[in-house]
Amino acid sequence: MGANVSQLEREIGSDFFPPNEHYFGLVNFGNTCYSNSVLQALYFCKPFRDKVLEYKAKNKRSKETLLSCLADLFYSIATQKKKVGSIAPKKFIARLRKEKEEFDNYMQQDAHEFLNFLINHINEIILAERNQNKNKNGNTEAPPEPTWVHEIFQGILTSETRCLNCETVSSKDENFFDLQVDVDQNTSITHCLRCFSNTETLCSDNKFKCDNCCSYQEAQKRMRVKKLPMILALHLKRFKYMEQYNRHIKVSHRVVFPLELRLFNTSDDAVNPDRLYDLVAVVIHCGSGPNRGHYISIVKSHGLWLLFDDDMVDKIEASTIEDFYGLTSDIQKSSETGYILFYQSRDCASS
Amino acid sequence: MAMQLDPNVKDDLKTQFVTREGTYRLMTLSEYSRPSRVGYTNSQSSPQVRVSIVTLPNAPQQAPSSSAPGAGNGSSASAAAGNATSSQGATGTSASTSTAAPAGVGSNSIESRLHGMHMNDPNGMNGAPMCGGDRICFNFGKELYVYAFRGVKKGSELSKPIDKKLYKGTNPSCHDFNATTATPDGAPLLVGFTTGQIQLAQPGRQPGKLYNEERLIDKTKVTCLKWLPGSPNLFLASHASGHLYLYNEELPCTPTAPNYQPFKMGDGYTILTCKSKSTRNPLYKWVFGTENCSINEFSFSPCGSNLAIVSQDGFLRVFHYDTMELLGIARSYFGGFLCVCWSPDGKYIVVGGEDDLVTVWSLHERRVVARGQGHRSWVSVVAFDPYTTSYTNWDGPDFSDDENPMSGDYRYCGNDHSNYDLYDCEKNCNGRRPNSASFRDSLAQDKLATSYRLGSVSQDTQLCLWDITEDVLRHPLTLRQRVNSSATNDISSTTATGGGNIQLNGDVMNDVKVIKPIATTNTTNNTNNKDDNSCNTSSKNSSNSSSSKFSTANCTISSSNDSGGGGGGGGNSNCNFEQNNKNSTSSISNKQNSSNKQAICVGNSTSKSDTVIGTGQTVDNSTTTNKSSSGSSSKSSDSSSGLSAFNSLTQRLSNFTFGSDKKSSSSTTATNNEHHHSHQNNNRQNHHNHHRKTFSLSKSSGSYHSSSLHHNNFNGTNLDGGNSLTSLKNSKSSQSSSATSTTISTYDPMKLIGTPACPRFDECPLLEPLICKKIAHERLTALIFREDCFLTACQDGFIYTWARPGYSVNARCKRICDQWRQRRCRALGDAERILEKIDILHLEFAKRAAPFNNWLDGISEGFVDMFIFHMKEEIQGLIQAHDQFKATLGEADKEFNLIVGLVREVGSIAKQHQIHGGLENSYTTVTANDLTGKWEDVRQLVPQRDQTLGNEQQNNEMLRP
Repeated sequence: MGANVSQLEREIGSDFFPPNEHYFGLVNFGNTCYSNSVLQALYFCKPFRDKVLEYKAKNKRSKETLLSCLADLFYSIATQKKKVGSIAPKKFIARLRKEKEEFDNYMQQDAHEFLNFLINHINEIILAERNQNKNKNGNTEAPPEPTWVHEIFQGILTSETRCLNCETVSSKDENFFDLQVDVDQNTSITHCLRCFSNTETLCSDNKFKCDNCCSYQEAQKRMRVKKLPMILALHLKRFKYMEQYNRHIKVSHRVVFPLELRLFNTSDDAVNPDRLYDLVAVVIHCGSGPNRGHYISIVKSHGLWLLFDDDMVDKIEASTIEDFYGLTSDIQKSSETGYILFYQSRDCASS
Repeated sequence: MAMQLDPNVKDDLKTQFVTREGTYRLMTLSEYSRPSRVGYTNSQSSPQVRVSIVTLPNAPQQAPSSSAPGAGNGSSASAAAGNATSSQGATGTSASTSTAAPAGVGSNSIESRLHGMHMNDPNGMNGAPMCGGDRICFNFGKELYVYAFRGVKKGSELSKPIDKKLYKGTNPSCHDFNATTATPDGAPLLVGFTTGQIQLAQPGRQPGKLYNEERLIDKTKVTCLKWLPGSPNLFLASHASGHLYLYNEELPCTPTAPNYQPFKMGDGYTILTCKSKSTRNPLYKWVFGTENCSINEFSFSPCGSNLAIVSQDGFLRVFHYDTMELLGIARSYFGGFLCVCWSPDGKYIVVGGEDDLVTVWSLHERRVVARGQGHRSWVSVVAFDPYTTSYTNWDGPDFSDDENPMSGDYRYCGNDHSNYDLYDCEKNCNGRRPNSASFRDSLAQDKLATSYRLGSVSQDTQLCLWDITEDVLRHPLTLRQRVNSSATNDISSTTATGGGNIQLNGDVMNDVKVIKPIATTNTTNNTNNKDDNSCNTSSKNSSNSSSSKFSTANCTISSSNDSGGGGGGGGNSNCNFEQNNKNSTSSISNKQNSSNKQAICVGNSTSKSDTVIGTGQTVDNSTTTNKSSSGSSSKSSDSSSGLSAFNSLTQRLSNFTFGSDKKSSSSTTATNNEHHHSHQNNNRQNHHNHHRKTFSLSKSSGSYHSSSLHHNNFNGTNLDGGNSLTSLKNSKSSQSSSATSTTISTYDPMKLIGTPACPRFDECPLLEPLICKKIAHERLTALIFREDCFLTACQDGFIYTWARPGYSVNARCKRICDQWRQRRCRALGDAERILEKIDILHLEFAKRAAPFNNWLDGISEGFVDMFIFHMKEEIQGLIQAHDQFKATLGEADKEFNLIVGLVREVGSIAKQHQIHGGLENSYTTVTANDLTGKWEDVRQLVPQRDQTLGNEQQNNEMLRP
């Protein structure tokens, strides 16, 4: 492994190695690559890493939570003497297995489920700790302020529904931490997002309860982004449940994702529709199904693209990203495809 | 396995589609395909399959082929190149042949290094009777193929490539034929590789030459290669590193890594020249100042003077090539720009990229004028279809050949109703209705009704065709925008720079393009009050219409313009003149004025015109006049009056300026270093000389001498020594001012959003595709329009030819279809007639058979009756009656035969026309067989009756005593 590590340093070149940056692989504890890949991606989402390290600095001696374990892990990566190497996220995995039953085994898990759990769970921990403090202070009246998890990942979707009977448009906002998009063959993530916001007609069993008509009516509905998050996490729904097989099948469609992204599907009253995103990390699924195969991640750090495969770290060319778009032919069962995309808003990168 | 899950896979690929000009059909038989279709090869990450095409001249004694190479990859040189070929073809080749010898050093090692392997007999290509015609070249993986291209005409050689190469250790990534030096035997072919090398293969000569062989110049992939339009030996190569290099085919490369020194600095770009005693490759190196700016494609304007470059950093950069001046930029909505092309008249540039959009950029206005949304993934190639692009004065090819049933429709294609309904609002249309010939005529007077046909292919495996009408390009806002006007009004007032004002009076609408300034500070524009704007526009009105009209003409004669050395870039010559004029009148004082921030652009343009740049920067002027409107609008309007009269003069001026350039360069011999500015100036002229040495300059310097005097009067001096001083000053000012106008804000996409270089999505007219068809299973990588067909290529290595409506095979096919249809019609008619006949017969049968049957029944009944007579008379009576009956039998027999004849006739008709079944007579249940049986019975009964009656009579007589 030492040879591998030094090779990375050699490849990057000591003069070009970003100062105060560490590229550490994460040891696999038996099918924990779903966690490793997501953790690496999150580590290289700079705002998230900064906040986690900030949390670490503020909460020196608190009881062990998943967040404290994560903070310790990030802290230990960030304070390594060596620039490259690998580290064992033992405490974090142990804590994770305690926290959630589903993860308490040696099975392959869905990386997106893990990400979803992690973000929500961290958010809950922060809220809980805040409430504790507030209770101590005796102040419970204050409106719930958004946590830094909100600030980083949360966007607002507005779903506009037009009743086809009375033409009344009602809109409802909902928060999201990531957007889950369907994938079509030979399309771009831009197209997938546009489809996400396509108008859908609610009819038959799925009618809309119109407040104006006071009854269930046919309606048209579309979801658009009202507030764009600082980090836009896009989950490509590549695992599709097929009734005839009674299991999930991987959809390896080729879906291209640019290094730079703006959203087309913003609502008219969107707060910041011009946001320009840069791709900073991609969690990649390798293999043929959700419960098998392997997860790796590619991240962008200081203009370099790096591939994290558990404890291995490699420098890659930006041009090799196209290997992870997917397959145009369905002959091959197995594929290495982008699964979760992390886009970071450019305006936050400069600040 | 996953295949069955996917509902999309079942999607039928389109093999034909219909536009209003007719039906385009995929030609199955002239499909160029890679011969080795081996199972699954991973073509995902191999270089894009690109296609180059060249039209070779016919045998020497004949006139050069009239068909100019089509627009697209391999034919950057259009009519101009075609002309050049005719005049220079032979000499050009021989020249390069003679001089090429020293450059061929080390060419053996090249071949071995690249491991290029010829898989066919090299003699075969000379031995084959393959003269003239078209050549097609495409790369796939490690392979490179050259075929004879027959268009929609099928050829037997299809399976046999003229040349086929397999490379090891590298992949060909791009290629370009030199149409200028093409001979009947072939054309020089440049091939670029993923590892950075460039190979030149010349027909009949093995092995080829190599450039950047040791990868000392650039180690990254060659992304695009183009011969300079009309040049026999100069070519540009772009690399993934983001650098662009000019090579001279005849020169050797530097033996070591080249040392560069700055040659020209511009806004966000630097041009370096190779520092060596003797001239070596690369002659120039262009460096751009943004990150990750891998150049994806570049393209010369049809006139050859402007160069558009698109790169991975999401920028379109447009340069006047000879002067290396940046004319303007555009930014993608997001992601890289992947492809670029020029409209046939050079007025618009279309780019496609990772934002799934096609973006139309106007050279006049230097802004994004429209976007097209229709692709579901990245746009990999855009190409104008010059044959379907229509002008007010129809000067495209005549489609009214006999074969073309749709020729009438062609004439007003693009002016179709549907098109207008999409984009136009009738209110602003001033009642012009499109669908008649008079419509075009009336338009020709004042307004342009040009419709550009654009094609695009994408990674989504779809082909899109777009009609871009002048109306859309003229409109600053779209229908879509007007819907949510509340929002857009704000935007337009703040960012769209006075476009909103002009909107108010519909008449001035078409002038908006001239008014819109380039990407500068918005505050400046806000200072323009409405009066200024309207005044300005009214004065511009004439200039615009005339200029655009002129540009059409320009386009058609671009070749002559081009060889004249610069020529008028599109329809800019008006503005060009205007600028010159203004220079003369407003002169330097104007420049002095311009010290404030707003007038910076004025300074900019003035200086540029002084520095003797024929065409490109004219675009500045349109901006300039607008900018100056607050200060010196009266002057600009003055100068713009009666422009058309000076059009030709302007052209001559530009010609002249080139000539003068040459002279001055010869007089002020290149002293390369020392003073920076003089260095720059001189070098530029040098550069001219260098670039264009193949052009005949006699025309511009000689015959237009008188005009040159004229020019001098206007513009102060350009020829004499004092000029060098002014031009020095100017070059300085141009540098500084241009730096101000484009730096800082320009290359930051965060600040560019909402500016003319990158309007917000709802600030810009949105086009929808005319058609959008899925035509492949793999992503599409090439699109070339030809006169009789267009070509598409796919990443899996298949090249498809699509015949245009009415072209040969199609027509033949259609004829067959028609014949078939006719015959079918006739057959159906016949069948109907037959069935009708049968029906009539059946009815007749029924009519006759029924009473006959009754009669027969009656007879047999009567005959069978037993009788016992008591009187002799009674028997006598019976016998008489029977005799009477027997007399009628003849008639009955006739009737029977007739009835049976009917049935037999039906039978024979059925047999003749092979009708099976359905012969049951629906009118009666009586059959011929019944009748026959009964008739037989009756006939037997009659003699019996005779006998019975006879016996009875005898008995009676015996009984009687």
